[in-house]
Amino acid sequence: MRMALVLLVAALVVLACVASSVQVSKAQGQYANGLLPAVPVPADNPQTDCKIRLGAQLYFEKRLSSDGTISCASCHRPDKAWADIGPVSEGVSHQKGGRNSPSIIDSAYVVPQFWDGRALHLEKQAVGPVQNPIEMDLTVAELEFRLNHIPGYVAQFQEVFGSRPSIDLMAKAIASFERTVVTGDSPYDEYIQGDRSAMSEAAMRGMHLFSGKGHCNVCHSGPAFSDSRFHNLGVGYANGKFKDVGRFNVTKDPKDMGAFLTQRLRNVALTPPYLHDGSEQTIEGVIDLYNRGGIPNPKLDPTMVPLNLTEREKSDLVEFMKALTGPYPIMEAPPLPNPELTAQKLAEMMKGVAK
Amino acid sequence: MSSLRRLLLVLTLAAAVTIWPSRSEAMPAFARKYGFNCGMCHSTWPRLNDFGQKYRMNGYQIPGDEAREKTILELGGSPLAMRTKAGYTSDSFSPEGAESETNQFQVNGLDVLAGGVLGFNKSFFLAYLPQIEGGSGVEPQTGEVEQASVVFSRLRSTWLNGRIGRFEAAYLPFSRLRSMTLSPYEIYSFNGSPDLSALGTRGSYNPFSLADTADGIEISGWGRCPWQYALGIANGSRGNNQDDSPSDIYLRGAYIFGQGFGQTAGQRLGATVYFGRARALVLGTRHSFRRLGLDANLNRGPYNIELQLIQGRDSGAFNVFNPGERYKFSGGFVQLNRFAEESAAFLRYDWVNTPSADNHDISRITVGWRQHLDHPLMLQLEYSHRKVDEGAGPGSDLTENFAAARLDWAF
Repeated sequence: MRMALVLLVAALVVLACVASSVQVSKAQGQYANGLLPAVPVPADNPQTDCKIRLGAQLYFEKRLSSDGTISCASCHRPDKAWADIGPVSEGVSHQKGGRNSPSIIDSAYVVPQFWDGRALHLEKQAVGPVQNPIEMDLTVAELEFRLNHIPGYVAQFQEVFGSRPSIDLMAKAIASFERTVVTGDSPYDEYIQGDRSAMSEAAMRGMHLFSGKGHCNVCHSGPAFSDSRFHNLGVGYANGKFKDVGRFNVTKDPKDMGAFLTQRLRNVALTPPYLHDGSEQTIEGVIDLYNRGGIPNPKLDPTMVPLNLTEREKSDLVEFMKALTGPYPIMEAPPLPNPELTAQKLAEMMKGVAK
Repeated sequence: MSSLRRLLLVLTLAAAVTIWPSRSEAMPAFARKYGFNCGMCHSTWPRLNDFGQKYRMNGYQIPGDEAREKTILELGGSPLAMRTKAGYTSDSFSPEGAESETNQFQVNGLDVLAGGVLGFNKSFFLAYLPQIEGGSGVEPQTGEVEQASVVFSRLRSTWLNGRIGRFEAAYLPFSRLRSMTLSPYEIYSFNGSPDLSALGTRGSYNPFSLADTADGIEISGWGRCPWQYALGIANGSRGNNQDDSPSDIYLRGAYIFGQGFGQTAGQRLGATVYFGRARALVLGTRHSFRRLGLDANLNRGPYNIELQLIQGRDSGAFNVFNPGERYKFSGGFVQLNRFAEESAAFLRYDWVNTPSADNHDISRITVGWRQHLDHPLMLQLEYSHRKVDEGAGPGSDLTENFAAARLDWAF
């Protein structure tokens, strides 16, 4: 009888070890992460090579700003993991925006777009900055005039869409291009596909903390590590006020006050600074913020609680963040059509037409 | 088939059906549902952390994410989970002449657990303890439905939630069922009635015990401001007949200082009152009793202190030691926990002071350590010394020395 009990205890241990050694590649559970699936593509904007090429040109096109100094790539820089280096970016006339420019890597996987989610899809997102007076500062009329007076673009739009340039078609082309800026094949991806040596011990501990004591994947869930939802961490709250009301601007719902979109985490180690206002320079700083339970405020997300992480645990989480770094497209600005037609010339042409 | 073989069969089948091939942790049905591991809800399971406590109070739904919760019918996996313990136990009793000793490998019970969401803001939790006959190496277990409750969350807001059925009521600020220690909280178990073990106390024959799960209805609330409350009506005494109307009422309030939910962060102070009626075992009629409690749960870094003070007063009808006179007792416990990354150490002192005419005071000191071996599996080492004052001079006190090394496994 005693032998049977010893065997039972041994069996329990073996089964537990087997259970823990099962690969997690079949990420299970509503909040699990896992491998990135194929990029979702809307039915009304299929990916084509020529459209992606056009989108790339438009992405780097500074003539889409009023003074010809700013393009999408100015704030979402390919050489900086498609993000920017400052807390906030500079727009036309060196004006500063209020929010950090996030990387566009994997933006195809998340809806809605912008920190406050005011655009549902990439196609809607791409029309925002060009019209923003702080960013690119063009009216729709100005933008469409310019595109329609650059012969190279007129021809390409005709080829891609069978139509003359418009702001919506421009957005479709840029969105198609952005859908190619994706990552994957990070040490984490290799690990969950079975390569146990792909991540360090610290990163593995961090991965365990990520879905446990660190409470990270309550919000950073799914393959792109974002739940596409809005959460209030208290960032920017002081003296009883939110410096930026975030999602509330869109919904006017008081519960959304100070809430911002959960950011994707793949390649996050490459894209400091962090948070919607770029106020944290390091991942360690962000983890400290979470470890404190955020910044108390009346709308603090109910999932925010102090975490009691040890220094080693915080360090392990950072290592896991680094293990989410994978290759991504790096490119130079492509040749743009009719460079002799500068923004100033196009603006003057439009004035002339108006007269 | 012997009870041990039956248990082995149940464990093997359960393991095959439930864990293979998915990884499972903590209350594994919940962990599987979300893809979380035990640290999400437990500081050292089964003890809940702040998030876990919020999750439980929110009807087993992620706070703020209720609309996305999948019901048990929408889930691919099973809402079932099990928990069992096995290990070596040494338990010795004195005084001389009444000594007994147990030293053996034991399988210590099996819990069948289920929980999940039934619909929007409606959920359930079930804990069934199958009857285990017991025998050599197998601790007997009385078959019972330990918990079976339905939770209606956010009836208005987080300030109004309802729970109906059999559940561990909010009048226990420190969960008995999710305690890290194997040794019971003496004051929660104390009812003055003769203890069926060798270590008896005498005085009151009130069958009510705070440690029992309650049958009844509870409403509770919590919000961003640091107050929590719970109000319940229960047929709280297992000594009552089933057709006795629920007549117990309890109220609990707690206030949290600092950031956190008062479980693993923030400082929680609470007070509880419980007024009940129970059937006196001798007279067979129902008589009143009350419990008043104060508690504190204090956190600083990896350290946590749990403090519970309870004063009890039973009708004289329960007092067989001194019939007609109210039976008054007091007691509590103070527990120091230190949480590390994968383990926790604890030290607790329990005490119960009985009336001077009774004078069978109880004290217990417990020390132990709980270590994650892997996340569905914990190792627990615990030593506990219990003493019941017999008031008959040196060497007459009833003492127990309990030591155990157990594996605790949820799957």
